[in-house]
Amino acid sequence: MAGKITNSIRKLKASSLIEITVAMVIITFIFTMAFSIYVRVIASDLSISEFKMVKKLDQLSWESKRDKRFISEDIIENNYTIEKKITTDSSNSKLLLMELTAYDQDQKIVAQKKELIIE
Amino acid sequence: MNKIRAGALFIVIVMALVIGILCASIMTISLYHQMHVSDNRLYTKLDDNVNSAVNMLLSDRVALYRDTSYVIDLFKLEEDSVFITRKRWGILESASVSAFSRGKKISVDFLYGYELSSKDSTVLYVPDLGRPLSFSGTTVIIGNCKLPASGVKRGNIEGEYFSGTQLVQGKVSTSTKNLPAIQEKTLTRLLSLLKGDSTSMYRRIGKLVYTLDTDTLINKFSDTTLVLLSQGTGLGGKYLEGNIIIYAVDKIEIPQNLTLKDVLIIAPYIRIKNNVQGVFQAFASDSMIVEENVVCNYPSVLGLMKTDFHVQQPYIKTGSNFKFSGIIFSYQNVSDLSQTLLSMGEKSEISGEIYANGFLELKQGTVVKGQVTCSKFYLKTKKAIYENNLLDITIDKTALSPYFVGSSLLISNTPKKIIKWLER
Repeated sequence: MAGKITNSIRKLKASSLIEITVAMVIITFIFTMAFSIYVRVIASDLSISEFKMVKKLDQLSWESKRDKRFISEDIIENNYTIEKKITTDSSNSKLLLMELTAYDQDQKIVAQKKELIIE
Repeated sequence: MNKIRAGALFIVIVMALVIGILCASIMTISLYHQMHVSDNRLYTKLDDNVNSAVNMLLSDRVALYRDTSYVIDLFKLEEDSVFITRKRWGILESASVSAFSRGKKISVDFLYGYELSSKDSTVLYVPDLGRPLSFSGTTVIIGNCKLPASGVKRGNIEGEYFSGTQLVQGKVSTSTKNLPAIQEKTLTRLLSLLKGDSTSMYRRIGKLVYTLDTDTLINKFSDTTLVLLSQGTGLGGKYLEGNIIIYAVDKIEIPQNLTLKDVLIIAPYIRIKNNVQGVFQAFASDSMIVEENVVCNYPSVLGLMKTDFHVQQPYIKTGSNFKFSGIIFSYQNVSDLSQTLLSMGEKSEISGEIYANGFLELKQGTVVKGQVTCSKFYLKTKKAIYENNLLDITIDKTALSPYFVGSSLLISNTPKKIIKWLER
């Protein structure tokens, strides 16, 4: 009976304090690096709303040409302001310059489009 | 009993490796995504710049000489450069526009012409040479006409009386003694090409090709023109497309199994065989015979030019069931009795413009969806020859496609329009 008790006691191999400390340092460094990479990737990427704005400008340009709506105006789209500016070319009255600029709430330019169009 | 290893450092290193691989994957995906987005934005901008350059060309904002290449900064910001080349292509014009930035480039080639005047413009113009017009059978004219002061009357050709209720379904006004003026500049180069009895002129405008080694020859409009020196025959089974001129000093035969797309054909005598289908501009100085069931799709051109007294009566004669979309014209800068003759075969269907500086024969059953301008009508039946008579003819401008774009043949202030995109 006593022999059985002696056999059931297991020897567990533990890590040393230095080993655990080094491991913690490494894992902390790795997680910090991974998180910073993740944040950088997310920040540098074109956000969905910005991408939507680029497409919105394309659509607005197409609609202006289709409807022959060649007037300067501001259009509010969700939290963005789109400025449509139409100017006549100095050398040719038939040719118009259409500039579309989308601003966010901080007046930062999100998307821009510039085209010469025939009236 | 199992032994459990407690190697914390080992586990951490494995985890670091896995996280590292994940991070590298995320960075790579992000990098490619950013490159894709950046390219997409750049191509969108280049596409806008190409459209802007095309509009600039069509609106004549800057004077661009033909056969010269220009690099233009669109918005004067030194970041929107475009490259433009334009040249005459028959009686139409072709242009190549490229926008480029950071090693990327978008190019377009297109043919352009001039918009036809608004729908209320003339459907039929016959100059006032003192002879009235006479309509017989089921002749239908829809649109405004400019006709001789002696007017138009009901006629009878071999028992075929005018059967309609109204001679002209539109306004009729008096024409002048002359045809609408033609843009001779448009024809100057064609005339010189037709007169060219040596290949030196063609050598200047393009690269000479003496024999065709391949069955298919496609030449872009942004490249140098290829001049195929034809021996009259031997074009069967080929496919020719784009910036190609087929030239012969005497005659050219277009066989049924030759496919042509946007090419020019220049020779004193041209014969287009039965059942030919294609898109081409053909110019002759002596005669052009178009056999039966030929189909010329838009934008095709048939042109006849008389510049010499020695040529008896230059003519274009088409067979029956001729289907044509584009412009048919005759031009003469000499005035004699043997004027040019355009003769459209029975049951022909013409969509576009006919301009005849000379005689125009519209045989029975011909339908013209577009406009007709001619010095005189001519009609030969089995029994007699009639002048200024129309028998069973329909001329209807309202049936012409609103997308039809004309050429620079007639002096016009109408806006330039794109006829077709050749490459985009």
